[in-house]
Amino acid sequence: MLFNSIEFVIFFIAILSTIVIIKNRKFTHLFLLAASIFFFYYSSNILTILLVSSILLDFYIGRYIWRARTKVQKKILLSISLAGNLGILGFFKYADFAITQFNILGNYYSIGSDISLLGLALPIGISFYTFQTISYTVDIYRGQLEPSKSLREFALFVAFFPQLIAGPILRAKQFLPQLREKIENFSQMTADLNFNRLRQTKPRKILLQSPNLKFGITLMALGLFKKMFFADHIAPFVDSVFNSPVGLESFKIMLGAIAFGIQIYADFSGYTDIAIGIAIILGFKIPINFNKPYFATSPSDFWKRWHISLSSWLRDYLYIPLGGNRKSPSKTYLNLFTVMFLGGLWHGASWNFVIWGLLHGAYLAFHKIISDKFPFLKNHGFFKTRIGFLISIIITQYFVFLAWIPFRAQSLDDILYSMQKYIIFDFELSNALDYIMIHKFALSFVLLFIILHFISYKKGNLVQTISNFKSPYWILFLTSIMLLIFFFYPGEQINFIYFQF
Amino acid sequence: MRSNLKISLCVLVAFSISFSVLLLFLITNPLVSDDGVFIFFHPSDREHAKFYSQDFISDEKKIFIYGSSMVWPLNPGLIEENLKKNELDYKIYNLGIGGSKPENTEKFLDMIISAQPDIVAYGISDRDFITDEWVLGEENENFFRLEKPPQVLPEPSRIFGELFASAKVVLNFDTDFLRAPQANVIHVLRGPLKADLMEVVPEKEIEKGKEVETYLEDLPPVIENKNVLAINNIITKLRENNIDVIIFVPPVHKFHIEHLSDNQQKYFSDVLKTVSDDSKIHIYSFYDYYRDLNIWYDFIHVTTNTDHPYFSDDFADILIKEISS
Repeated sequence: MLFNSIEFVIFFIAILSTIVIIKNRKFTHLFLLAASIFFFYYSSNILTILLVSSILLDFYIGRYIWRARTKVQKKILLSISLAGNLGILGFFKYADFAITQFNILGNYYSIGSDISLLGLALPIGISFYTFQTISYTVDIYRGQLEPSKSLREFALFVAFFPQLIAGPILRAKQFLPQLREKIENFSQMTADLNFNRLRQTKPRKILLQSPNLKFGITLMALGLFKKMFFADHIAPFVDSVFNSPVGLESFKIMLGAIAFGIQIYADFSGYTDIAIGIAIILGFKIPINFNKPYFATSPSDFWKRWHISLSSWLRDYLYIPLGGNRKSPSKTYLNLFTVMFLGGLWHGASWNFVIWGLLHGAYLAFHKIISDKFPFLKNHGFFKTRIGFLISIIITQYFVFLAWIPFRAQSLDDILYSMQKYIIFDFELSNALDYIMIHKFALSFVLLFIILHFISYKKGNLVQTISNFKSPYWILFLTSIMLLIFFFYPGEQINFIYFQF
Repeated sequence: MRSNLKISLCVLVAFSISFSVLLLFLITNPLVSDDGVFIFFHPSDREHAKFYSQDFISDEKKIFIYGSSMVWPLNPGLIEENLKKNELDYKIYNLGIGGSKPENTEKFLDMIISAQPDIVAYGISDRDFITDEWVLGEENENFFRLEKPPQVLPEPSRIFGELFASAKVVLNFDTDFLRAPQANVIHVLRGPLKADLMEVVPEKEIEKGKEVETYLEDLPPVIENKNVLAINNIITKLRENNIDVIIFVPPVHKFHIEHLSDNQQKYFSDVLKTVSDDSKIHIYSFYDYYRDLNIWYDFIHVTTNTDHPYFSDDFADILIKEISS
């Protein structure tokens, strides 16, 4: 079920209406869980079993890890959880990729390997909910989290529908406490006795509060606007460049790369805005995923602003356990490469994403080398001036957009050709103006998005400002957004890019 | 509660205003052609309408490629490169539509002529003439690969879809006119429409799909075949407007050829002969050209992967030969 579909509008209105009617707290939670499972079932049918299995596996293993007395027992249980989660993820997502590589290698060495592909369906959202459940058991193993005592609450944490398909990747310590509230008149004396902690709290009542409702609707409207107005109308231009880039001039490839960078940001951050908006309406806070990534001044700054929930997950559960930057410089660089390689592969079973990940690994490692070798550069006065700041942004974004080429192109030939044209500019500009005129609508969308992105960067919290509008102005805002969406509706629902991951 | 109601009312008011404006616009600017037919009734047709309405570069030489999905593997970039090596500067547009037959393309004929391509290359296959009308449905699309999970449980989207469809029939309510007026958003294509990368598939996988399509045994006389008439008409009209035409037969897998009866194979030969004689045109054939190569995605498509550019390269040779002559 896509957020940009009429089915979802009906589904969401039905949920809100039911929540208003239901008074029983536990039943509201159960209803929200059932709705989340239905939401998943609507897109995934029988593969809902995988989600349910993942919930059951990690709920019980989490409990056993907490109760285990020895480190060895804890380790064994954690290994079972990791093997279960990564096994499902690996089997469904990477089996065919592995078989293909094996066949290619087999044929290269004349073994005549011809293993049939499994042709498995890729379960929607599996990369996201698997990472959520892994972080839950790892946090318990590390002693940083107490396991959830309620299967209902844990299941809601994993399956919470706004973020189920494409994140943001939630952490249990952020979400689970939001499902409970303190019993106000609970006597301090009883609390001091440190009774079962569950007794001090009760399931939180899910209420629709007007500031949340208005803020959430504003965020959803902006998210839909990003997706349906910008991303969906920039997409055809990007397709026209990357469906067959071989033979195109440098400026076309560059325009294509920039347009794709804007498209994927509008698409993914649009989805995230809608997800966060829905959660806020329901009274939940889920973390932001983007913070003006195209204003990043270095590769490491970019990863603090782009897909934040994934990059922080990779940092906490991969980079730091590998040793982070606590060991030798060469080990640090290797760790950066490894993390970004796996981060790339997380996106999909394809060399495209591996190349994309490795490029970012190289950027991060190179930036680290420069920072380590020339520490004075970091605090150099020039980079504090406006022009220095601007140059940092331009250089960083040049490389970020270069890396979008392997992410979008369709074959290795296309990637190599396009990257070569992007890096070595051919100055073939004779038909540039004609080309821009032909694509003026798509390119206008790109330009308009950049301008709005700049305004929102300068103005800070634009969503809060808009949701504080008085009713007539707020209606005007919503009407304008709806009109633009209606008039530019592309005629079919277009999937969010990150749904495939 | 009161303020929640107020916010909901605001949303409702905004929706009502924007929807009314849209409706007003659609009533005053109907998206229908002179003969009363909706211009945009099929996604591919919509894309085509946008394509032809663009301002092409005035002195650009253009070659349009038409046909079904079987022409998708023709890569415009590779073909242009080959032409450039022979100092021929043409822009190639692959406009193949999955499942399209000459009858469908005939509908665009005026738009094609108005775009003034220098050459139109049309790929015709036996499927254009010996299969009945068919619609690409979910089952057909997913037959070869299990892209979707096995549907053991009832499919909710289908239940709702059927519910909406039957409500529309009962109410006799045609919602097509509510499609957004986004014809002013020009979408320029170079590669094939909606064609994903079609990788090489092992032969035994391809074999599984060979029985899928049913072909007509009870065929009309060739000269009465609607698609034969359509392709002849396309050739005639294009030539009348000084547009050169190349007709070619895209390649098929040996499984496909083996699957056809003698009668069907003879019928297709007769079709080619009729078109060639009636329109006095040479027909280039790639029919069984790559039958022994491992470059197939399924039994009617060679791969679109540019690691195997044979079809594009050979096609470019034909263009070079035709342009030179």
